[in-house]
Formats: sequence, C-alpha cells, structure tokens
Amino acid sequence: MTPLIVEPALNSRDRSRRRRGLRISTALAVVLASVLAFVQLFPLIWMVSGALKPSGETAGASLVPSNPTLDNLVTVFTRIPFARYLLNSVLTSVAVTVLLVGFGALAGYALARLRFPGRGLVFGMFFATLLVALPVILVPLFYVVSRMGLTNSYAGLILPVAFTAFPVFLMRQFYLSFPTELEEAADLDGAGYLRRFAQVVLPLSAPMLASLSVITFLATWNSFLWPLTVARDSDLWVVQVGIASFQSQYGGEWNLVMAASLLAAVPTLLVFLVLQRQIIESVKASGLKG
Amino acid sequence: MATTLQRPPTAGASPPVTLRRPRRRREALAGYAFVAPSAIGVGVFVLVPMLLAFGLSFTSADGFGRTEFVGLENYRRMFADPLFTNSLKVTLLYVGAFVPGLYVLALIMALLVHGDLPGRAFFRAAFFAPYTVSLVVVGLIWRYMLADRVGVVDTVLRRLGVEQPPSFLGDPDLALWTVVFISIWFFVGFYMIILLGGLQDIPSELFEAAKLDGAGYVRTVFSVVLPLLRPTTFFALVLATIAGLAGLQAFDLIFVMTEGGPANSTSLGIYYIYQQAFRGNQFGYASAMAVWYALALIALTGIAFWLTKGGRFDSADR
Amino acid sequence: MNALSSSRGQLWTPTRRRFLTGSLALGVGAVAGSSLLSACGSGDGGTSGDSATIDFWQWYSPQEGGSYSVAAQSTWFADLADEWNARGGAQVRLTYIPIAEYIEGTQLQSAFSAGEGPDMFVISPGDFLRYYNGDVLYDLTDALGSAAGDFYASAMSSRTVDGRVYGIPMESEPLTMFYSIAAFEEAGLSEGDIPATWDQLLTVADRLTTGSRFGVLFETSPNVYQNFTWYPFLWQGGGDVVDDSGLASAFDSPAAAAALKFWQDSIAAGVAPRTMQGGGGGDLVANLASGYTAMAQMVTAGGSFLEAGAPDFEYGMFPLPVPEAGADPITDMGGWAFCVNKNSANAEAAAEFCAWALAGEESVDRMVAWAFDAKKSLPVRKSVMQKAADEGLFEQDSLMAYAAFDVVGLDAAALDSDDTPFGRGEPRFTPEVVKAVTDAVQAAQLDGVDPAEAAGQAHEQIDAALAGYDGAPLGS
Repeated sequence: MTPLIVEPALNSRDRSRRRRGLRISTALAVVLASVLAFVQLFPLIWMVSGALKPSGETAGASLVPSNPTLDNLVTVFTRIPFARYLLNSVLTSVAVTVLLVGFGALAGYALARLRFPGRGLVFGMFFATLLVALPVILVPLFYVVSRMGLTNSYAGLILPVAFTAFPVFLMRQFYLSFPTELEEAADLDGAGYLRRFAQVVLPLSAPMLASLSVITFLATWNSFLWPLTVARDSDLWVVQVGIASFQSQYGGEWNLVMAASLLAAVPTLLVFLVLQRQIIESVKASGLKG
Repeated sequence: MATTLQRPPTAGASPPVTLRRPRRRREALAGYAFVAPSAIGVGVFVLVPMLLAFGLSFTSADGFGRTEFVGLENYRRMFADPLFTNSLKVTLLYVGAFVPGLYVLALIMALLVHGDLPGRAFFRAAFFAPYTVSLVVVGLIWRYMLADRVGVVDTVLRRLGVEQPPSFLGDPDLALWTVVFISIWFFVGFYMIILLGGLQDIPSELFEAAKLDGAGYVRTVFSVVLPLLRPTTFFALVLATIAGLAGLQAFDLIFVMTEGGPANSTSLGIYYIYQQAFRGNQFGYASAMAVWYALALIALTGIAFWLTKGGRFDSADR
Repeated sequence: MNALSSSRGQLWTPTRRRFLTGSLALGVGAVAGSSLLSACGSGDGGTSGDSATIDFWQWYSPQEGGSYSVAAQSTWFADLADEWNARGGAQVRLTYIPIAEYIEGTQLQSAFSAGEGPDMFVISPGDFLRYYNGDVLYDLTDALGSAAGDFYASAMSSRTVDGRVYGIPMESEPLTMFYSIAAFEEAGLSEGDIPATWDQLLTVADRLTTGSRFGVLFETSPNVYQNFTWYPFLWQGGGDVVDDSGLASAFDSPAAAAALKFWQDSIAAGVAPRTMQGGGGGDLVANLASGYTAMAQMVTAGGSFLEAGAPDFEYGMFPLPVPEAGADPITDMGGWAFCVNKNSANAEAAAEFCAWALAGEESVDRMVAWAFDAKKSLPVRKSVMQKAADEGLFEQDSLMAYAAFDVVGLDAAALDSDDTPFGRGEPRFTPEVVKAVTDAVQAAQLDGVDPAEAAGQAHEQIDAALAGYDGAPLGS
C-alpha cells in the first residue's frame, strides 16, 4: 500500500498503471483505516453521547441526544466529591511522576556513568524486579505498607508505586549512549557529581525525561488496583476508585455513569491531544530501547 | 578519564599523587548516593514484598492478625483447588487469544499509518486514543454498550434481525472473549506505536526494491517487512505475553465488568488471587498462588532473555 | 475515622500518618524515600486518638442519591447518632460505606487487615463468620442483658455463638417477589395469573417476556447476595447447605439439584436475564421500574427503595413460588445487625450504644419507625411487633402486613411466639463455603452444567473447606 509506493523513472504507460494501482490501494487503505478508526473511536463518542443524554434516553442506539443536557455533569459533582477525587489524582500522579522520573534518572545515570563497587549487584537487583507486576505482589505489599502505617494516607498512595526498576533501566540505556564530552567539560570546572548531573546532564536529557514523565503520569492517573487497595477513606480516593464506586451506587443511571466516566477521561484525553508527539515518542523509546 | 585524572581539581588542593583514591572514592560515594533512593524504594516496595510473599505462603495468615506456620499446606491445597486450575486455564486462554490478536491488529495499523496515507496523523491518533483512557472508564463504557436489551450493541443487533442477541458479558462462553476483545481494543494503539518504531528503522530502499521486483503488497510484507521487523516483533510479543500473564490490563476490566463471572469464566489468576486475599481472607493461600505466578513470570522472562541473548532484542538480524 | 488508630493493639502505628502537604515535599527532588517516610506527620486535624469517638460504618448515612438511597433511612441513622450524642459521653460518628462495598467490596476487610477496623459496623449474616472467626467481634451479651429475650430466635441465632451474642439485629428482611402491574396488564395477565409454583412462574415469565423486557429476574452476579436469594428454593425442597451439626456438608441432595435446575431453566428458556442492571439484582429501580424485567426477587424493603427511586411506578408483590402446589413458601430472612470491634478502645461504650439503640425500653418507638417508616423491613423484637399491632399500623400499611403475615406467616394473635412458619433466618457461612455455593449456582444457572453434578462438586468443596475448620458452627 502507500508506504511501498515509489516514483522511479517509469515510462508513461507504466506510470498510469501505477497511478491507478496507487489510487486503488490508497482507497482500500483509507477504507480499512476508517473502519478501524471507527471501532477505536465509537466507544469514546458513545460515552460523550451518553453523558449528555437525559435519564430517560440512555437505552437504545441513537447517537445524538434529542434533548442534550449538561445536568449529568453537574449532578456528578454534587452527588460525590468529584473535585476532591480529581485533586487526589493530580497530587498522586504528579508526585509519583516526579519521584519515578527524578530518582530513576539519577540511578540510571549512576549505573551508566559512575563506577562504584557493587554496581553490578545493584543493577542485578533492579533487573530482577523489572517484570514483577503489581498484582503479583499486591498482598505482601499491602502487608508491608500497613506495617509501615501508611495505609489510608497519601504516602501510601504514592510511595509504594513511586519506585520501580523500569525508569532506572530506561534511563541507564539512555545515558549509556550519551556523549561524554560535556560532562568532561563540567569536570574541568571541578563541579561535583550532583551539580554536574543537575546542571549538565539533566538539561540535556530533557526530551527523554519529558517523554518518560508523560507516560508515567498517564499510567499513574489511570491506575486503579493500588489506590483501591490502599485508600479506604473516600476523601483519599482518586478518580478511578471514585467512579468505580460511583457506578456501583448509581449503576442504573447510565447517563450519570457516563458523565462521571467522561469527567475522569477528559484530563488524559486533553493531555493526549496536546502532547501527542511526546506520548508517541515515549512509547517508541520504551519499546525499542528497553 | 585518564586525561582528567592527571589534572588536579580546581577546588581541591591535594597533590596529584594522592588524587586517584579520593577521586575514586568520591565517584563511588556519588554513585551510591545516586542509586540509593531508587534502590531503597525498590527494595522496600518490591523486593521485600517478593520475599514476604514467599514467607506468607507458608502461613495461614487471615488478615486479622493471626498467622500460623502451616508448611506446604497452601501449595498442596493449590494443586487440589479446581478454581486455581480454572484460573490457570482462563489465564492461558486469555493470553493465547490476546497476544496474537493484539499483534496482528497492531501490525495492520502500523503498516497503515507508516506510509503517506491521507489523514495519517488523524488515524494514528484515533488508533491510539483508547489507550489514554483508564481501564475503569473503558470497562464502564463497554458495560454500557454491551448491556443486555438496553445497550447499543444489543439494540443494533436486534434491529438487524437477530432475535436473541447474545449476552456478551453474561454468557460464560463469550465473556472471556469479550474481555480479550476489549483488552485488545484498549492496548492496540500502544503496540502499533512500538511496531511503527520498528518499521521506521527499516530502510525505505528495501520497500522500493521489493516493489520494483513486482512483489505484491502482501508478499512484500511477508518477505521483506516481517523478517526485518523480527526484533521489534519479538519484543512486542514478550511484553504483551508478560502483561497478559500478570493480568495487568485485565484486572481492572474484570473488576468493573464481570467480578470473575459468569461461572468463573473470567476468573484470571490474578483476579482469583485478589479474591482469595481480600474477599476470602486467605492471605497465606493467596501468597502461595502469587509466588507460583511470580516464579512462572521469572521463568518466562529468563527464557525470553536467553532467547534474545540477554535482552538485546535488536541483535539478531542486524 | 480518627478513632481507627486506637483499634487493634498489635498495630504498628501509634498515630495515623498522612502528609497532606506531601506534594510540596516531593518537589524537592533530593528528598530520599526514607526521609519522606519519617516526614509525614499526622495531619488529620488533631482529632486523632480522641478516645471518645465511636466510628460507625454502615451504608445508610450520610448519603443522598443512588439506587439504595432512602432519605428516611439516612435521617433515621442521623437522628439516632444525634440523640445518643446529646446524652454526652462517647460520640458516635457515622461513616457511609456504599452497600456494594459490603456485598462484594473490600473496604471493611482491608481496614481490619491494616489493623484499622472501625469501632462499630453493620453486618449481614452472610459475613458474620468472617469477622467472628477473625476474632474481632465484641461480646455484646452483657450489654444486651435481659433484653435478649425480646428478640425472635430466628433473628438471634445466626448472631450467637455458644450462647453469647456478637451482633444485635436491627431488622428482618424476608425475600419475596415483586412484579410490574403495567407489564402484567400489557401481557393480558391479571391477579389471578399470579404464579404459585416454579413451573407457573416460568410460564408467566414467558408470557411477560418481550423483545425489550425479561419475564423474571434472579440475581446473576457471583456474590453472597446471590446465595441469599437462592437459599429459599433450596430449603423449599427440604435441602440444606450444611447438616444439623453445622460442620459438614449436606449440599449433595435432590433438593439442591432441583433448586439449581429451577434457576437454570429460567435462563435456558430465555425468560430471565444473564446480567443485572444498576447495582445488582436487588436494585429494583434499575431492573423492575426501568422495564428491564417484569418480575424480580427482592426483600420486602424493596418497596421503600421503589417508593424513593421510582415513586410513580406501580408494583405488586407475591410470595416466593414453590416446587409443588400447596407447599410452604419458605423464604429467607436477611437483615443487618450492629457489631462492635473487639479491639476498639471504645468497645464498651459502643456496645452500650448498640443496646441502647436497638434493644432498650425507650427504643421501641424508634424501631417501629425504622420498620414502618424508613425501611419496610420487619421488626425483630416481639415488643416492637406488638406495639405496631396495637397501634393498628398493620391495617394502615398493607406492605408490612403482607410481609409479616403472608410472607413470613406470623400469627397476628401470637406475635410473641418465636414461630416464623415460612421465614428462616439467613444462615451464616465462611467465605469458602459461600464461594462453593456461588460456584454451584453460577455453573448451573449460567454455564448449563448438570445441576446434580454442580451440587456434588460444591458438596466436596464444602467438606474440604470444613475438614480442618475450628470456628463457630455454620447455618442458621
């Protein structure tokens, strides 16, 4: 299809046949892509439609509400402390992102550039935990966290998920292929390691850090299992836990459930629309260098 | 490094001869300081729980503070528990359908947006969009769409003449596949981007050469694209398999949509563990199952790394 | 919530830690994880450790809106707390937990797992053993004193172990059938067509089933509530989950197979839905009033939820159908009880509150109000029942009269009798036994598994679960 089309010097007959082939294959590609795009987008559009429908209209297949209303969104805010959930999500996601990316870069840099006894061992430890998924250690993690007295607290929401091997690993890979000259220049100035890292290395890794931050933020914002497990008080609930609970209370009212879903989805959808390029770059980076 | 070593640091007044060791020591200290936060954090919140899971798996911990040593009882019970066996089966079915389905669809999407398709940026964003929404929201949207009698899918099917549309979430023969479909729908954009990265690394001359040879598009994909994409493919497949086994995406979906039902047909291993621990108060037993899954994951990771010669996914063909 | 910290002595935290300003601290990138931990102070407004607060978890108040929201119930609880608090002494504070958290959630369990269980909570019989066997229930026998005799035996038995009381019931909720009058009229059915047997129910359900509506609804979500709604059909044929000892399975019986088959048939015939709308099968507003189904099973309290959630909806009720014509319409009586956390620093005060609220002399009017005005569930105390009868409330409230005399079969002339002819208290089981029964119901109902086979499998699972069991006896 389109990626394969080239325009070498061809005689005119070949060229016209080519063009026809191009048109047909392009048309086919556009049709296929449109079908797939429809499948991918329709549920999101349906959510928006459902959120705007008055309560009597939620059943059935009409996409455009006959009497669109914003009441559902208002109702969500009045029935549950949605603003509080939003605040908790923002706090948690920002904190986790800062910790994960900041310390991940620091450790990745050390593992790539600084020589110290036991470096291999430390790297081995990170490596061993690289693929340990949260669900697998959920129960003992909950034990550890409650033993530390952190359940039902912001610290409990943030710290246990703010340290994983992945960013360390990713940033190490990145710094392994980082030009050494600039650091050496800083070394000539006699800058300490921390200053060198903060003033020279960090600024130069900004694009990579931005990518990592965006995807970490998204993942934390959308995470559910840990916040569900660790935060009991509803004033510590994040958006995802809040809407899951909302649906069990108001499950019969799909317009309200969709309004709550829409409110939960808007921040990340906005982030995606604004930072599309960075997000896609960060996915690529995590895929190819990991 | 050698050049810098001969130069005394401006701030220090030490003679060059004794420089070597303090510099080394300073570097080592900096190294320790830099890795300390992450190492301590990962140690406390990942390594310790890993070890603790192992310890708890030999106890009857019930979540109310009583913890008695029971030896291998939990492991014995595990292999005699039909629901554990069922959860293994469900997990394998899930992974077996999720991974290939995900890969094929992601590849098609990646190929579509790789070239100069009109509206390429739009399509790429559209394919990726579901991934930016949380799985809880995803679960709620699809529950609404798939609701029996009320949902849009049911309504449209009946309008198309289907008298008894299937219950996608209420029929044990369908519920797992529904969850697989939604998982793929959610995740395909992410994998599309990963594969796209691989495609962009393939020199465009190779496409052209194949085209000049008169190879058809499908043949070009199979004979040129796929072999060159193998490292990326491999990475994507390993990542998806591990994510699928650990139930990373599926847990939230199952929690919101099916509670493991109907008739345990969507009771993935990870969901069963969660259920045993937090609903059944069987922390010890749940830990034994978690240890089992962790060992399986570690073994799988080991095999993957052995196959890729230490994680260098891009070494095989280039 | 603050008082949580005082519960469960073995806990590792003297105070609950939170750092509300955590994000500010995090801005400083150089703060190590360990120092962060120590940096979190208790930012809970300074009330932490206030020993005079009783934190009371329940699913009624304070809340507004939602499928199970009734203003009168929320107000009743709020008034109860206010009245108690006005007397001085330990202050009750209400914490609202959604009912879904009670039925299938983890909030309460994980609070206990973290050593931060509430001082007081409401509990259903289905969950009693989890907490009793976890050794966290306070013995309420002394606080209750002689008032215990005023309670019906059917309500007390599942909250009693070795003669000691660990939960004080506030109500009895018998299961019955609800139907939509409009749906009946539409299908050309009248009161005379109201089904009395299982077969009749399926036949009527078939007539009520249309392209957009199911005939009858039984719970399909795999949880303890589903078990609760299924037990009556098991009992009607003489079956049971455990034997009289309460320590061995009795599940493998023709009665169990027949009851499983009844639900299986309803799905196989296409007259009952596979999935529930809203907050589960008990959510009559989302399932019955919405037109999703024409008949549904629910406790009589469903009437109060319908009146609050769908005031214009016209509905009727009839007793549960039976396997053979003329058999007793045995039903299951659920209901919630007040419990006290044994490890609470305020356990004694909380126990006093429980007895005062539900069992004291002066609480009779309050309990009448709960039963008749707020919940539409039956009183569990003979004196409350008598008071209501004396005041002629049963004549004024046909739903309550129906619940007491038709559904449970009480004798209006002998309200102080412990005999509840058709009503049997909801039994208590361990989480493992609950799961075994749920799996059997699910397998037969939704997966087409042979009912006898499903019953046999559950039988084995129950016996396996009880093999090394040393907790309190199961059953009702």
